[in-house]
Formats: sequence, C-alpha cells, structure tokens
Amino acid sequence: MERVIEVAVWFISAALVFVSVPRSLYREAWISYLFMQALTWPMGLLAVQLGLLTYPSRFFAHALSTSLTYEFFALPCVSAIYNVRYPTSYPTIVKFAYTLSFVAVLTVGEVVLQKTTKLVAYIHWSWYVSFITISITLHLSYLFYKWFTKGSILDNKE
Amino acid sequence: MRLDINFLWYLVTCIVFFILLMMNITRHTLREAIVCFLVAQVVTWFFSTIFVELYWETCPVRLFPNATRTDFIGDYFTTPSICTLFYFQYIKHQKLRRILDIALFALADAIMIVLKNAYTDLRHYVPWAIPLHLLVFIPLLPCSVWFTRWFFKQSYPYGGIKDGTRN
Repeated sequence: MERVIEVAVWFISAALVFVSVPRSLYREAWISYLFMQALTWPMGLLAVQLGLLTYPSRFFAHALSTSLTYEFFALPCVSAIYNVRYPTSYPTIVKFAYTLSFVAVLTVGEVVLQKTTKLVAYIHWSWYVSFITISITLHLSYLFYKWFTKGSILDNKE
Repeated sequence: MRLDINFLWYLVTCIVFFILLMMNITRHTLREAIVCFLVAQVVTWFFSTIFVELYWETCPVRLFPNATRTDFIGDYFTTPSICTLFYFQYIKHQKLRRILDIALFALADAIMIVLKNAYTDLRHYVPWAIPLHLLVFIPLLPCSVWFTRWFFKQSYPYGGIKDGTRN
C-alpha cells in the first residue's frame, strides 16, 4: 500500500507541474525545484538525525532514512507550482490565502499519511511544526525565486 | 567527528572549493553558478543514493549518520562545486580545449576519489564501482553545462535576465 502511494505521489507531482506550469515558465519552475531540494535535503536529514520523526516505509531504505519521494520530488515540485503561480498582482489577503491553502493541503496530507500509513511517523513532531516549517521553506523558496528572476519580465510585470 | 584524516579531508576540500568558487564567481555570474551547482546537486544526490543502496559504495564516517548512509558533504557541496568550476572553465574555452577541460576535471575527480577511497573512511567503493562513478561523473560535467546554457538561453525569460548573465 505504502509503495503504491509513494509511486502515486511521484506521478501526481509530475502531472501537477505539467498541468500548472506553462511551457514558457519551465525555467522558473526548474529554479524553484532546484532551490527547494537544496533546502529540504539537509533539513530532512537534520529532522531524522535528531530523532524528531521517521519514515518507516520509504524508497532506498538502506541508503536513506529520509523520504526521497517527499524531499527530493514532491515538495520541490509543489514549490515550483507555488512560485510560478504566486498571485503577485493581487492584494495581500489573496497572497495570504494562497500560501495558507498550499501549506494546509500539505500539512493535512502529511497528518493523514501519518495516521493511516507507515510513510511517516511523528516522534517529537506535531502537525503545527510541519505547518510552520512548510510555511517558512515555501516562503524562503519564493523569496529566492523573486531575487533570482529580478530584472526579468516577471519582475517588471509587478 | 574528531580531528582525524576524515575531518581534515572535509575541512580542506570545503575550504579549497569555497575559495575556488569565490575566485570564479562574480556578481554577474552568480545566477549561472547557482543553476549549475544546484542541478549537479540533484544528480549527485540521486546517483549517490543508488550507489549506496546497491552496496557499490559505503560511507563509514559521515555527517548525519542516523539519517543517511551517503556522503552528504561530498554530494551536497564537493561534487557540485567541481561541476560549477568546470562550467566557468568550459565557457571560456573553444572546442579542443573543452575536451581537455573534461579530461582534466575527470582526472582530478578520479584522483580525489582514489585518495578518498584509500586514505579516508569517507567513501569506500567496491573496486569496479570507481570506473562506474566516473561513468556518471564525466557526462555530468558537460550535462550540467548544457543545462545551465539552456537555462540562460536568450529566450529566458522572454528576453533574458538583465543582470544575471552574459546573454
């Protein structure tokens, strides 16, 4: 069951990127993806190293105790969609709701998986820690994205 | 990690590569360096995981020993740094010299891998995995350059970043 979910996450993440990101913004999606994996890689390792949470069922279980699916692919893909689709020209309340919806979906998804599968198990962790860390990493990724695309048409559009 | 050969290896390679990167990267080439570095990182993360999973390499002494059996510093920093340094050499040169660049960087990496394998506990390869590592690493050099060039092609984004690249 866990394997099926993990494989599904790979396909769903790829499909979401494919559907949500226009071809003309592939590079923007790439840089978001690349930056996010550079963040999630050490942070995920640190969380497992400190014994805060574990991933009992995972791919490459001998090599990694972290979740390759989540940290290498799913979260960076979500970050790519988040950055590319960010409502830059909308009021702050819309931006806030946009961010909240992404973080809420990810957190609820994680909590459901935590309760019903062996994909993730909390030790010294709670849903609100996920909520906070996902919010911070997504926003960091967006700040980096904004800096990186500064001077491009995306920046001028604002 | 006590002050032994493993720690010294990490310390020296990190400092040397950091200095080399600083010498090569300017404000105007920072974005190129970031793209090249990060894309190399993705590839090294993935392939390193496969190598360790298949027992082709082991990393007895490592950072985050409870969270991973791979060589985090090597994959996260050292190898991407080599690719980034290669990028800046490669774009300066013409055809024949570029082939020489690949050969030189591959040789440098091979020497590092052999030394690391023989004198430290950071990465131990099964004998035939060293050429296999090079088989992944050598194409990674031109591929990371190719990706970075593609990324900063004049079409990006609708006319190019103004202050991020030479284009």
